[in-house]
Amino acid sequence: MTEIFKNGMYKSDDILQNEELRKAPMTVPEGYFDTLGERVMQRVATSGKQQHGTVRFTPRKWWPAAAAACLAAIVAASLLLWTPLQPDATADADDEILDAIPEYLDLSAESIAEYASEEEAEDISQDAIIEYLAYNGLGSAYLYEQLADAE
Amino acid sequence: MSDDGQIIRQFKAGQKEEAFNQIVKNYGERLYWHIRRIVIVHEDADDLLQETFVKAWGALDRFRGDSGLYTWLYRIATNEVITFLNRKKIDTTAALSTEPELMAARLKADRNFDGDKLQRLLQEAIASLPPKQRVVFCERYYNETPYEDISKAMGTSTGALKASYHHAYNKVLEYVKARIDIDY
Repeated sequence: MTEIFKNGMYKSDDILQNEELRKAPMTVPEGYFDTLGERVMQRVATSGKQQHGTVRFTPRKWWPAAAAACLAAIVAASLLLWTPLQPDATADADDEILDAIPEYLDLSAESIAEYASEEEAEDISQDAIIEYLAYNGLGSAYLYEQLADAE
Repeated sequence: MSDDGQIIRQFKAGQKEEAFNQIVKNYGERLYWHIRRIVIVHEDADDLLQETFVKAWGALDRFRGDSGLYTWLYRIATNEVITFLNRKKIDTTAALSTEPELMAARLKADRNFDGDKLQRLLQEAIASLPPKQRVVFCERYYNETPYEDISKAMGTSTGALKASYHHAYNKVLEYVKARIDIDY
């Protein structure tokens, strides 16, 4: 049993700091990596993707994408200025993130510093939190409105 | 280990299988563990790893070397994992079970997991995190991957990642603490 107890009490309140826990107790079938190459090539052969890739990370022509992004930004800004915020601002967001908005917005440097170094906690600004939530599909304007309501 | 540039040149010159086999040999195990720690179950990790390499095969001709080869593969793998977890979330909702409940059942039957009860609780807690948060948590908690490297793979700022990690850490810790006494 992972040793976190002594005399029925936790050695530390923060169980996750136990180094044994950081060693994920996962194994692989014997010989798995030895045959991996062969299985990958079999899958490549059956996937039908030998000639045409589906992943593009660096488009050869960036300007159509940039023009579309600018147009989208202009349209989005216009909608925000002229229409009230709708629940659509959360439509693409994960339910877990939605439920956690109040907790995220309440994240303070003090609470983060419990588990992080002071230096790390300094970089976690309110804007960084908003950015992360927006990355998860929430409209940032909606989030700033939530912030204003909470104050 | 062969030079990445040499391997890519070899691939683009037409010696694809030989070059790609070297890539799998060089990076397969590292990518596997990156994926496995997030999805937890071996069969899922195996499937996602192979899919990562299939996508890499299709795109390697256009690889420009803006990032290192491993960073590029890591990014493909991370995207595959997030897509998989998002798809699984829809299936979980349809099954009317929670992710931790499903993970608990799978771990009990998993021959490739030999952790104790506390370890299982930790994995259940990780399974309860939203996909992107799960990736960030696993990378920091298990590998102590620098935020800058995670930022390059996920396309979000280090500040946002720190917020995500610390929120995830709190959630995982509270999940484990709330259940640990029940198992003893």
